[in-house]
Amino acid sequence: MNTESKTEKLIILLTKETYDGNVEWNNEPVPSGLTQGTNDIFPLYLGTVYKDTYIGLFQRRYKHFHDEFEYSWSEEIGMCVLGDNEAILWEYKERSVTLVNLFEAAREQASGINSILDNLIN
Amino acid sequence: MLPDWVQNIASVSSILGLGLTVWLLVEAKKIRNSFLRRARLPEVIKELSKANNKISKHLGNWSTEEREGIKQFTIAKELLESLQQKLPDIEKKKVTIYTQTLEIRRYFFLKSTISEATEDEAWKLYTGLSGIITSLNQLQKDSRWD
Repeated sequence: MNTESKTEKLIILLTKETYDGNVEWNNEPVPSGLTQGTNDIFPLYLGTVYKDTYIGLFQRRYKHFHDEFEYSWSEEIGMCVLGDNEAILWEYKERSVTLVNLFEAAREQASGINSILDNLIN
Repeated sequence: MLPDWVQNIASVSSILGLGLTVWLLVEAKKIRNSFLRRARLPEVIKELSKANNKISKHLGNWSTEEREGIKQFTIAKELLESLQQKLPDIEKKKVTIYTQTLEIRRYFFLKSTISEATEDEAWKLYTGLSGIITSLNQLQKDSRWD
């Protein structure tokens, strides 16, 4: 099994664990390993510790240059494994439907949107 | 009356011509499928991803949202079947195997889409569908070089 297949397997496992409430995602400051030396914007960063490994999910907006001066803004969802001193040990940024689904599940859990909506409508 | 050697050459040429015609037909079909694929694949991947995203959300509350989840699996199956004949052999085989897992057979010939699935079965089907979408995404990238 190659790294991509293993990653996809891990993403689906984390999605299941998130829905089952066994993994807790928190809105956290973006690690410096992701922000230093770039002009990228990170609207949301979610982190968790799963089996003693620190895993992060992020939404990144970046400039996609068409030529030297012209650019448009693009967006991507990524996953990373963090080491000491906020170092990015590994990053996964492939366009993956499962990663988008995990990010949405994690965001829903971290925001507590379900209980907020329940409070508002009851 | 033509000499034998001329007749022999004519026969061999006819056989070669027939072979060439068959080969051209196969190539023309491949080119046609390649064009259809390039036109349809992005749209189908988008629709499949949407169904996959909804399935993922229904999996969070499978006990109460099973019916909605099954409906999305049915949509995914229809989309895959519409694409099946336009795919190269490897992807076609993957799609065939996957769509068969979404079918129940009665009396060997009557087929219908699954109407119920346990949560574990639904997670397996979701994993399978995600794998198919990844393969189709790779195929779409390769198609740019056709």
